[in-house]
Amino acid sequence: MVAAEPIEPNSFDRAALMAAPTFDSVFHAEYAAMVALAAAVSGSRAHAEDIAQESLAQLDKHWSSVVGYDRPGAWLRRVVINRALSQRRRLAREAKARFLLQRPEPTIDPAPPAVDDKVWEAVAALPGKQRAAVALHYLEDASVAYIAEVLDISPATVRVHLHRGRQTLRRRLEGGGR
Amino acid sequence: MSALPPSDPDELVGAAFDRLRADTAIVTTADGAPAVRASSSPTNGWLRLVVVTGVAVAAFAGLFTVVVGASGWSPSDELITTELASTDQTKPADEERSSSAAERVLDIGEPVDGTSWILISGGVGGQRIDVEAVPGPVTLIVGSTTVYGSDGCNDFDGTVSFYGAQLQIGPIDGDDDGCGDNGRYLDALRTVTEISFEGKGDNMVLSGVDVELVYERAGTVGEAVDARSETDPVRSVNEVLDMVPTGEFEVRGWLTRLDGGSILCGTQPSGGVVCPGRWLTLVGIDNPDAVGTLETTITGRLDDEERLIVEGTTDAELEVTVAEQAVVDALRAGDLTNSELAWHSDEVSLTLGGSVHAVVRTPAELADSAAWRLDPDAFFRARTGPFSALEALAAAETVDVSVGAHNHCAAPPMPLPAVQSVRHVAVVPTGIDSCIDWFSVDILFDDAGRVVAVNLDIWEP
Repeated sequence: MVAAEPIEPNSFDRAALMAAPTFDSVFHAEYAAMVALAAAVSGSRAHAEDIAQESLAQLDKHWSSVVGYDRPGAWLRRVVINRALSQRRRLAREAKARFLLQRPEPTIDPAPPAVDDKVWEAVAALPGKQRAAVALHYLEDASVAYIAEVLDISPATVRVHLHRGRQTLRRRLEGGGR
Repeated sequence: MSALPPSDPDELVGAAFDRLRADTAIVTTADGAPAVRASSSPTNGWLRLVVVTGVAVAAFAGLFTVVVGASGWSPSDELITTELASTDQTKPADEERSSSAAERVLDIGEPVDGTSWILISGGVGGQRIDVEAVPGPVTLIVGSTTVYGSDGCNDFDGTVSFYGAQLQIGPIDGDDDGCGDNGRYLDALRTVTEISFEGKGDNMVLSGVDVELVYERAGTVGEAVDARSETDPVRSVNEVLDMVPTGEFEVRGWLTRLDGGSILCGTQPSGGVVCPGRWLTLVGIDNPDAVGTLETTITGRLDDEERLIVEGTTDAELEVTVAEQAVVDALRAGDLTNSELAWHSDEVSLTLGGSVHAVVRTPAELADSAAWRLDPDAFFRARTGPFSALEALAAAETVDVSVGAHNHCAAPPMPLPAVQSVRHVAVVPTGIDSCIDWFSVDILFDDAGRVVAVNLDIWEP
């Protein structure tokens, strides 16, 4: 029998455990992290801030109920990840449409730092859930239990996602392709 | 002071995420207000937040300082400070952005985004198509390579090719059973050559020589569900989309119906869900990781709350469990006494090619690697034995482990051994140069997670 892993709250959740967190304090604490998470999951830095802002706007809208949750930070991260995955899907559809209709790609996405090109290319090629799990792991040092809560999947599945994601990244970055 | 970039892949990934985190860090200005490194477009970043989170901005009081980077992502970028006197100043920029985004989608994305269209008028060869003469709505969903729809009586599907703004539909597979004008509608679709949009994209017009079909937008599944998927823990289309892996068409999920309201829907014998005036079938779902390779129709039944329920397999069920991975690892390592190896209590079938050759071993016998060697009298896949799943696994440098059916190398999938099992985990080699090196080891588990059979297959030259 394996003991259940403790769920480590992130800063928002810690704030929620304190007395009377305000939207401002959560916003200050979480905005940058949400931009980073959105960028990693959506693969688009240009859209990452929009995603983070829209997600925080959702938090603002649902503040009275979300702040009462056990782990409101998990809720916010789930919103960001859902939006980031939707954004990525939209971009994929648009790219496909452009190809089919022979339209040029609009230049809306600034180039990321070249030093990490290969890494982000490899991250972007991961399946959505794997990408989200890897992003939470690297960006926030989140525990398996916490990632499971954010992604609404079992801890065992998180472990598989992380294992496969890291294995795939390693293979691709070592030049092994898929 | 510059350190050499790490060469270890794990360190490379960690460093990239660290840089991303640093690049997005909030810069706190002298007056305590937050500022961020925004993206290159001044309408694409922070400015928008001022509108959408007006309450929060108001709380920051006074002037709002925004730091906009030239590229937004390099720490060395020159920073430009912009002061906004009020939130009103951001509105035109935000509206302009929304407008241009909408136009871009309408301009290039509409034909292939899965929007459902309802025919409101049309004609072909000088004869009008009477949309009132059929019992159901006359509809069309245009995918990137496929069209789906209903002629008001029956569902149909077909193929579509795009050439710029021109298109060709056909062949179409559907019944022309003389129900109203349904045959005329399919004939019209076969002859259209151009696609265009009118108004604000609410109407789609397919036209050609002596044919015109005017449609009204019924809605886009993705858009309709996006709005609720963020906060609703109930399974949504987005989650279902994520559950559709490449090549796997079975999904389970609750799909929110296209539109709200009290429209009663019913299922069609052909599988689609049809509502008077509205109908819903997900088509041409694009897995973001396999764009253009997945074209399918997902249909299901509506539950009491009018949610479409699609039966199938969840992503979690398609994942290799830790216990299953442990079995694979032990077998690959030849660690036959590993405690993670859970054998069926009485007998385990070892088979070649599903049923070409089979023996039954007890768990005790399986501890000896010699018992794994199968030596059929006849050729197996044009080769002579003995054959051992253990030896195949040990010889493979890297493998892919998956749940469910898998393709063979340049051959169709083969049947598995006829044993009572509920899970099938397949191990195939990766990074091989030729089918000659290909094999599959299929491990069949029962409902208690015990191995009941191990099947080996190889490629036949």
